[in-house]
Amino acid sequence: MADAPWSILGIEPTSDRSAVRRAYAARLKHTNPEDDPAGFMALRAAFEAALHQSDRMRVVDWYGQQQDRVEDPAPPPSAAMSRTTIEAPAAIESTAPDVTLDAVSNTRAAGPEELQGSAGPEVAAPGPEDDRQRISEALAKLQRQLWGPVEPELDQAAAAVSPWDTAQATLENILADPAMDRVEIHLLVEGALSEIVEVSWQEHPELARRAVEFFGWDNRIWHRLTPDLSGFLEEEEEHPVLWRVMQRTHEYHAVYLLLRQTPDPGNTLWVLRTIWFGLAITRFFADASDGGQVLQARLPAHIRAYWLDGGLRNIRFARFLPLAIGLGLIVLRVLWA
Amino acid sequence: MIVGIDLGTTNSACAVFRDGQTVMVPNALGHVLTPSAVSIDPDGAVLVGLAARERQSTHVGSTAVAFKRYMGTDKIVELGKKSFRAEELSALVLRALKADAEAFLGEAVTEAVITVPAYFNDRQRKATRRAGELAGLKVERLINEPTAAALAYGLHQRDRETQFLVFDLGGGTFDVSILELFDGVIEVRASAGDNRLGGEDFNDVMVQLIGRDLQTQIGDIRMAPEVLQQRVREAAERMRRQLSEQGEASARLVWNGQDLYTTITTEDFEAASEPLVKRLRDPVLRSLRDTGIEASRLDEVVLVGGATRMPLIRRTVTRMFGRFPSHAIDPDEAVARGAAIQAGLKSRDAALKEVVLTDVCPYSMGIEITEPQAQGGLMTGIFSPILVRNCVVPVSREQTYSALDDRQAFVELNVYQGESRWVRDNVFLGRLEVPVQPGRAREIPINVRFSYDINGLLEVNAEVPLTGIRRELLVYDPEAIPAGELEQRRAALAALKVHPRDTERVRALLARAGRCIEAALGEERAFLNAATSRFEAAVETQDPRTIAEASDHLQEVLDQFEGRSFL
Repeated sequence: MADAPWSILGIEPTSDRSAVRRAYAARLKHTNPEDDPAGFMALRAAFEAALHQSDRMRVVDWYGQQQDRVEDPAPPPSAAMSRTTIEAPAAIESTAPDVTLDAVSNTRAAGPEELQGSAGPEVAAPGPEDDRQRISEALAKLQRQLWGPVEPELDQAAAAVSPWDTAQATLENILADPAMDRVEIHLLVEGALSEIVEVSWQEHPELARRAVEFFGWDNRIWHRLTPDLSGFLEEEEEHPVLWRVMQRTHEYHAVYLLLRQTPDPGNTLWVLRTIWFGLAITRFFADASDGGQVLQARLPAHIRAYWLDGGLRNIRFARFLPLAIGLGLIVLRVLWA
Repeated sequence: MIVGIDLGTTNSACAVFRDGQTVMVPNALGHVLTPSAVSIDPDGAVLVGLAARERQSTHVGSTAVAFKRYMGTDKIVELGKKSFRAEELSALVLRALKADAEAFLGEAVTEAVITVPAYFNDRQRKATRRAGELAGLKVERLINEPTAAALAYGLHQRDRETQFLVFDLGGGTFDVSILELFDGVIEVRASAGDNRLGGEDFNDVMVQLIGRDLQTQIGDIRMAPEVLQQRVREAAERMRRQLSEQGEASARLVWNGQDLYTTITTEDFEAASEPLVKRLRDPVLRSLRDTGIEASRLDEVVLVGGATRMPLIRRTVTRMFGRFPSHAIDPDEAVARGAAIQAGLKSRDAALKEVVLTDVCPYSMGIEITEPQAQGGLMTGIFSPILVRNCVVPVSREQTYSALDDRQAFVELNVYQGESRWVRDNVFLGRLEVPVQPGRAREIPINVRFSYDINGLLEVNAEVPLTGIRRELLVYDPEAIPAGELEQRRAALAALKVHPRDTERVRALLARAGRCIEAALGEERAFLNAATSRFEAAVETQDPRTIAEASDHLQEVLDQFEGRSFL
């Protein structure tokens, strides 16, 4: 059964990715998705399984080569393998502790290496290559700050401050970097942070929260780059205050939805809604059971800033308006009677 | 012959595959683009295309544009005394394209490949298919727009091995697809998009800017009369196009006998467009994430869709990828040409024997589940995907679930589509009830199978192997038409009078002249009136040469008045 994908493709097991693709392409001409959906589905499954197996075989080959090289340092790496063999170790040397960014992005991009050679002439890139360099260095610095000096007793000053205090500035610098406009850099940062957060969320929940907010990891079902944050998210979501937000009948639910909107004092509808929910909004921010902090932390930074720097003061009187109108109506009704 | 049709938000186009290449079908005016606009005459006759679009501001209550945005919704558009659904209006456009194709090919056209945005959901796809049926076209395939564009692009490159990204910003929708080409296989690796983002939204930004500029004269633009709003909208589109060429755009509007001048600079426009530009990022990031291809390894970034002509968009794309995008194909025609190639593939054209296309399902589909919590209680409304997005279609996957409580007599399967972890943020598709055996319901496995076919239509099967019970879901389709009614509605549409094709040129020109006259004052108005009367007199003579001369003259006059006409 193990060689089933290979027999469907009609080739011998091979570590050569492009051979697998050629075989698939040749079969596809006869097993068209238009005419033979069932046959195509079987072919496709075989193709994906074969690609997966060939990738694993290549890893084995690669280790074999490494072994050879240790025994006999003289022969240069073959041309086809040069990219993966050279770049991965280089990255390990350049970046600090244990996460190797370039290696990460390399393994993630399971793209076919052979395409590298055939890429057309490089267009003069408006964004220089040192963007990448700069961001990689900043990420390495972030890790150093998070996990502190290797031997704390040698560096008393650094050990005294909480690692998050220094790391926060670094993180914000990275997130605000203009190079983040480039999708390549964005994905690089996202990948690196996802690895960092995955191992450190218990230690640094603030970092995890900020990253989750920035990249929207909490509202995604599946991604190659989404870190395994189920533990973190569950902990966050099971806070008793958040339970209230999750309940559609609770006032916090409505308030939370309203607060997620960017404040827009020019919009009459928005103003009326904040007045209507004014009392609840005040309660939301001042929730006694330390929940106020938890809730606020889950609001986007600019919205949180708006409410804390004056937004709450603005509705100080207005929030009693619905109550006053209600009382007024009752009084009128009584007088009428 | 199967034709390929690009049914767009602002413009539609039709193409055929002939003698190994694609040919665009010109309409009665000789243009390859037909505005997706429908207008109704007071006498009940239907105008489609440029003539209808020109009447947008002069016949506000009886003209509809950009109705593709309402596909698959219950919205009803009132035109004069008649009311239409979006798919019926689309059917009228399709019918006009069909007539053009028949005139061009000299044979009856009954089959078509129609394009839809990759991110159209099940409901919107079904509405599009129905629009085709209402127009009397058998819809052979629905093909995703970026895939079509990629086919048009890929056919020129078919001897190379490349991977590229198609960035398709049309009038109303935004799609991103990443494709790979090898050995004659065109493989879509990932698609992502935004159903409500396109050139029209940039026009809206422009309208708001003009409204702010003219606030003292006309008050709040949102409260202004419909006629004025339409005029502003028209000026906005014109100005947005001007901004593509120069740093500043200005327009003159006539309202209540006074001249209103407005000038918008590129900086203002781009600052106001910032939130829209931000929304372009997410789909790009998502598609790259899903394929795992690094942006720097893409061989090319291909721009498709009229809105990508805006310098703002080009600059954004350049910044996003750190390189200049490709202009190898015409952004307006690529999708229609790709649809024609798909039609050629479908009819086994010899020139396309070695080309195979595989597409993906652009969104995840699954069911709602409930999970017991560690602290007690239940967490409801969790989305459990069965088909994960960007799997190659056709595809069929199965997962096993079980009841939550032993006393349950049946299990309710709610089917959703979307990418959120919570079903409330996803699109509801349908419901299925599966009976189980009460008493030991939790032990009984239920196999749920999702099958997604090549046209993007979903089928859900649930099976309880222990009892052999099977249930099948016909996906929720609120507007599904019974067979008899379809005939009836098609007949109703067919009964609408349509102006003969040969008078279309005259009508379009007259509609434009009418609009310009309404927008002019004093001497200019008299001058335009005179030119128009002269043209009408020429039409009366019925002599083709006189008409042609007069129409050239009127066209020149109108071009001088408001700048060149555009599509």
